[in-house]
Amino acid sequence: MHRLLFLLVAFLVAPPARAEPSFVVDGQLGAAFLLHSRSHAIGHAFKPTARFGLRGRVGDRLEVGGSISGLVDASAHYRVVGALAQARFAVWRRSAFSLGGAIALGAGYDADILHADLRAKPYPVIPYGFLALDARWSIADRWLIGAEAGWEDLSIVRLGALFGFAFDGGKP
Amino acid sequence: MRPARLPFLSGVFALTAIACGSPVPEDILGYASRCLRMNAAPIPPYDGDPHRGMKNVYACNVGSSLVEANARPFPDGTSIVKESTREGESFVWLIATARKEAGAWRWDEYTRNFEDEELRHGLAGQSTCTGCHQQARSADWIFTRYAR
Repeated sequence: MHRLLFLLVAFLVAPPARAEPSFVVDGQLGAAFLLHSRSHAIGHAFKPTARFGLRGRVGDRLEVGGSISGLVDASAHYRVVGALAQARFAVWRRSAFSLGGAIALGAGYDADILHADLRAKPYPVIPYGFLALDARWSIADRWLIGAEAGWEDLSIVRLGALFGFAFDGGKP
Repeated sequence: MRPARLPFLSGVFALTAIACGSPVPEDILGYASRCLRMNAAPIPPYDGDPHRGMKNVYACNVGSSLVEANARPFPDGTSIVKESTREGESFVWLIATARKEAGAWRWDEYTRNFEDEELRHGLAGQSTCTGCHQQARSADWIFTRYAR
């Protein structure tokens, strides 16, 4: 048991040993809590959420690119999607682990649930954005798994599983 | 479809219904036409109103003479239904029910955000309701009295 713990700690704290791939494509699937929902029913206050992104590495810790993020629902009242420029900064990085923070800004499709009065405006939301924290592990060399929590458009809190793939330009 | 899958699918549907919140029970539906409205005029919202909006309260499955006499306690089988409509809106966003069973009330709330979606059972527990309704303990836990 102690040996396992030692190996786990060593795995987490070992510094990065090699050059990282140039690009990361990742996604999140999870649940979102809707801060403006008046209804306390689970089916109204929580919705499935998804985010997909592609970023390129700029230096050791910074990734810059774009994301599409939003809520997945059959009802237009809850259907939210934003197209965003995103930056992720690795706050803490080890050989197979990275703890990061992300910020994203762009434009979004306005939906009623984004508003306290539950009435969308007849034009896109600009700026639409999110702040996020994630923890991700590298497995099988280039695959990424982890978890991500985000605060989106000041009205959605989301938490979900993170998955991704790191690759070099031209030869993923 | 193989018969063996039916129990599994039934379970999945049941779990989905529970997870999303069950709809308003059939014995509550139609309350506005078959139950006795207790309030003379819609009850306006107030600061800290947990059922925010203009409210109507109905007594169901109980004799109208008992309700009109404001007799307490209500008999077993009574259902009290409160509906609330937000200011500036034209649809009921909340239905709160109290059902008298074995001498005690069971409290439930069904809510929605939008007119074209179904009212669904909320997460509030019994204590959320009794915490407030205990102020009306002397009136069998029901605030609204019959008035015309």
